[in-house]
Amino acid sequence: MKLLERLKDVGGVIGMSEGKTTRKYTIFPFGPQHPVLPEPIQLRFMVDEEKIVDASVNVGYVHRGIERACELNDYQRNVYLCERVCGICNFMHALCYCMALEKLVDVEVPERAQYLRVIWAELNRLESHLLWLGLLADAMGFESLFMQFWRDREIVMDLQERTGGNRVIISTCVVGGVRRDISGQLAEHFKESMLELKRRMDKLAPVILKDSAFKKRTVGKGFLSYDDALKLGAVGPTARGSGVAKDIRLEGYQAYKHLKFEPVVEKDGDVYARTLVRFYEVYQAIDLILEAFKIMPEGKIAVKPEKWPEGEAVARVEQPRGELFYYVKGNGTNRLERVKIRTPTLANIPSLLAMLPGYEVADIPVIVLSIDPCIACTERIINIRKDGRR
Amino acid sequence: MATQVVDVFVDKANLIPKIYELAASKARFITITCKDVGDFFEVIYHFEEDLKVINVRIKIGKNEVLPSITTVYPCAFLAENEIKDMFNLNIVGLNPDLGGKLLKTAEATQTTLLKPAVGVQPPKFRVKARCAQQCPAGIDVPRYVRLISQEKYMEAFQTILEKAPFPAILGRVCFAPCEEGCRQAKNGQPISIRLLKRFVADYVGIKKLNIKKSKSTGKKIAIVGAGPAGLTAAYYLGLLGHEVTVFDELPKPGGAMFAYIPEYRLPKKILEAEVNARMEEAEVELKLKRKIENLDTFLDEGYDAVFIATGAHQDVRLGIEGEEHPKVLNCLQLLREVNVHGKKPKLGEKVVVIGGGNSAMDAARVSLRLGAKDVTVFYRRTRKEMPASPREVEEAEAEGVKFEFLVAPSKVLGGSSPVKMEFIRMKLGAPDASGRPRPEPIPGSEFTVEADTFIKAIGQVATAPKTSKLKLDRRGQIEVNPETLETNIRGVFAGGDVVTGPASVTEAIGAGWKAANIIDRFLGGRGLKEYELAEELIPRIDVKEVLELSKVPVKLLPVEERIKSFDEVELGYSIDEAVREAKRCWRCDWYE
Amino acid sequence: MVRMLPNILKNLFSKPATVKHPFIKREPFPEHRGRIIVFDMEKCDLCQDCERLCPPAAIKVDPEAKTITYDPYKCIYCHVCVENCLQRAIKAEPAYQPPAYQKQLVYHKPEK
Repeated sequence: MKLLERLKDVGGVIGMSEGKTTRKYTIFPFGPQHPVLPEPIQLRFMVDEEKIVDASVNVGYVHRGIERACELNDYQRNVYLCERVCGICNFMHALCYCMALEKLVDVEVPERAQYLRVIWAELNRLESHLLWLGLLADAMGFESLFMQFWRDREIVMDLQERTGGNRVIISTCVVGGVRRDISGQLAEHFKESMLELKRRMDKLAPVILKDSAFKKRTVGKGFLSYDDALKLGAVGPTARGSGVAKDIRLEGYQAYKHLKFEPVVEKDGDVYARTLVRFYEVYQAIDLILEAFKIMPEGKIAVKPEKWPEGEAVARVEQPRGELFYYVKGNGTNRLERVKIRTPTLANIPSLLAMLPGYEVADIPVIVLSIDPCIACTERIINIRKDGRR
Repeated sequence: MATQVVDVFVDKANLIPKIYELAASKARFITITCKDVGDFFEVIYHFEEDLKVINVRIKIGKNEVLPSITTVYPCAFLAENEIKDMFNLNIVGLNPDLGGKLLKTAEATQTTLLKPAVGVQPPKFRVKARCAQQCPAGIDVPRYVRLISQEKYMEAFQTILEKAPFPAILGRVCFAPCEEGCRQAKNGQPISIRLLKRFVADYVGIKKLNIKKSKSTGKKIAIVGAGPAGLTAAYYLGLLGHEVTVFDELPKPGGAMFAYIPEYRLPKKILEAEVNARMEEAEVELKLKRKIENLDTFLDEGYDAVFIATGAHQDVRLGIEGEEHPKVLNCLQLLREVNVHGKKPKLGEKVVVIGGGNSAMDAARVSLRLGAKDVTVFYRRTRKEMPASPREVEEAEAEGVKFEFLVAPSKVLGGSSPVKMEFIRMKLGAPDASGRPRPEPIPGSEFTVEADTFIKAIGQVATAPKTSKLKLDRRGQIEVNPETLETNIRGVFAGGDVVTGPASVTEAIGAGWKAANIIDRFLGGRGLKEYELAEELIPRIDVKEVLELSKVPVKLLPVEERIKSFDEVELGYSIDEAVREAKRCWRCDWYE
Repeated sequence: MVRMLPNILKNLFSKPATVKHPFIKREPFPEHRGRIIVFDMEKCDLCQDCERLCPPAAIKVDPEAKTITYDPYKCIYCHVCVENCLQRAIKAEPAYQPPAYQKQLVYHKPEK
């Protein structure tokens, strides 16, 4: 009897009665450590032999208390703290924080700084999408494609080191502008690298668009309908793959109001659609960067703030995974009162739980990866069960 | 483009209906923010509708129960779990997941509780920058330099007036210890703080300002000596509402500023105009040409407090034989003749000044203007140990004054024209009480010097009024309690040169301010405000831009013109130059 | 399959994309934000600006004893101190901070 109790907790056999027949379901945990997952998250699946019946989630393995730490530092040092919420999309966090604070301290960022911020943001998006494409290939077992994508990603990493100072955490955004400039020979090198990247993507495009093995594992899996995407609050490529044309960049923050583009939308709603969305966004990002370089004006790159932050502000930015939301409250001193970060992976998890039932266990890695889980961003919740165990 | 934010305030009753409304208009759920405000929680639900962000705000007490919104928005379970775990809020009807068949756990108990932020830490204050630390008068230097760079000249003027009432005078005569404390002095380019002060004073003009005086307190205060210490104390005590009378033996106010500082450093017109303007503002009565002969009878005249600031007006004797020769002049006496009585005594062609202080430099340069062609300064130590300020020495050299070091007088040999005096060469020995190496005579190295006039400028002695009750020390200085400036007689205070020995104008002004503060408290008032490190945001400078700026030089009269007359040598800054120089400041009082 | 053949042949005969790291070290670019070498105590005038600006508080200045304590393992190499030192007393070189077995603090004293 005791063994059965323990099995029920960790995973095991459960009997449920539905009407007259009893069915036996197995509960097993997927994660926190799993070769496919980039970051720890625990999903628990209730399966009926090979088919998934239900799923539940347990997050909080990467909780670092950043929201509380932001209240103890003064507001200009916080940029370096907020950047480290996520490594892959670090510039977006710094950008969103700076945007929210610039509303509180009432400064107007110069034009050139806005364009530079857009360029670095798109560079981060490129890096993130290339990483994800590699991870998806790896989850399917297609290792050589994984290596190819990551080799091409090195161009982006080198560019980040050259222009920002570091391969991963760029650290160039500050409240009031940016810290470094891209001009002259560096700008030329930048543009050439982008064209080189485009050529390499063109070489890899036939695999994604035409390869039948790739398609067989992704088409028709992990379906999320249009209504579900709206109801459950999905954001980013997860929503755009289901036909919801929602892109925060259309709001026109920073220099996006001068750049013309349209959100990439696919109608099918399965894993393949989301892959296509992200793949086309790579091209879109390269085009945005080249256009931004063409129309970037000259001028100063930073402005010093003249007031303490006071009041409340909300800022939203389009991260590679969706919509990043920052709520900041200041009270007239140089320390903030509350910083709330809501990352897109957190918003996509309910959609994940809705798109899992009905598929097979072998599809789990591909479907989980299709929402691009960046759990380091999520960082917040600890679900505790009654007897004190997680 | 900014995100549009719409705030909606609800209370517990209409929370769920409002959420239903939002769901009907297809708003998308973003997240929930919770903040512990001490007595209650403030919870904000964020929704998005057509590119607008809607904040639904609700205040909930610590023991109340919040209804869950997962009935309307099932995807909100993650956010609600979060605030439930972290802030220990009670939420009713919460699903741990999307309402599926799994994990029907009952209420979870907390084993971790995140401590809410209890209040915000206070911001740190401004630091007292080095320039302000060095100022003997305690003027808030970084503040007024910053105000000048922001082109707020009147406010800069008022900042100076809080601690020193004579900016036009200080801008010309102060030796600027603040510039030695400036961090940029390491690169040889300290901010010209003194010239900025002079610029502000000249820009605002010397006139009576409309300053509010406090209500009259009915107390009568007497101040003996209208020098910088006395006049400063009079000004601040007058503004605090007391009835102040200042007594002085000279026909015009100013004390050492009037009697000893020559015209080319401080024009008498400016001195008089500024002193009169400030004394009018403070409604102080000046009784000039009234020397207090006997202090003891004066004290019985019924003043509530007396401040003695008579200064140091007696020369130090050389202590050699023959020093009463008529052509061996006393420096202070000479300066008094030129400045107070307006005479131009003939000193002849060759003049020798003995001594290395600021009075010696003044005497040398005045001699040049009185017709001497060859002026030499003899000093018994080396140039490094000269007590005169470097600026004075440089200006004297530029005008053609020569220097001889390591010589000291030993005897006056007599003669009528030229006069002969014997000097002996010195060498530097062990340090003496002041920390400087003591000069020792080299035996057998005497030599004779001939000149038309010798001027003794080796020091000054404090001159207290004649008294039998006041305690004086062996140098003639009044003994006071260094904290309260009170003498051994209750109600009688003293400050300035008469207490410390000869010092500078700025130190006297600092002593005057301190005395005014103490006397007001002694009479039952609240005293003056000390240096305030206010909570203002000092915008940080742009480091790259500031490091490229170089010091703005000040225009001076050409050298040949200078010695022909007593006109002012320094011509001050123009508006452009002053703002440029003020922008160079590194704002060392910045703190975060 | 046939379409992939040129790619396969190219990958087979070209040199590897990776660098054999411990034997061949790649030099960082000149714009890399590398490790902070030295606080020049001749130029430093102990103003404590770097201490106030440092985000992880890795610099500690003692104005009485005139020393600077720098923790290279707490430092995040953001170079805020290098850019903002008004006497230009902090220098950095574009090299990576190498790992070590124990955490160390670096002390700077004035030279007498």
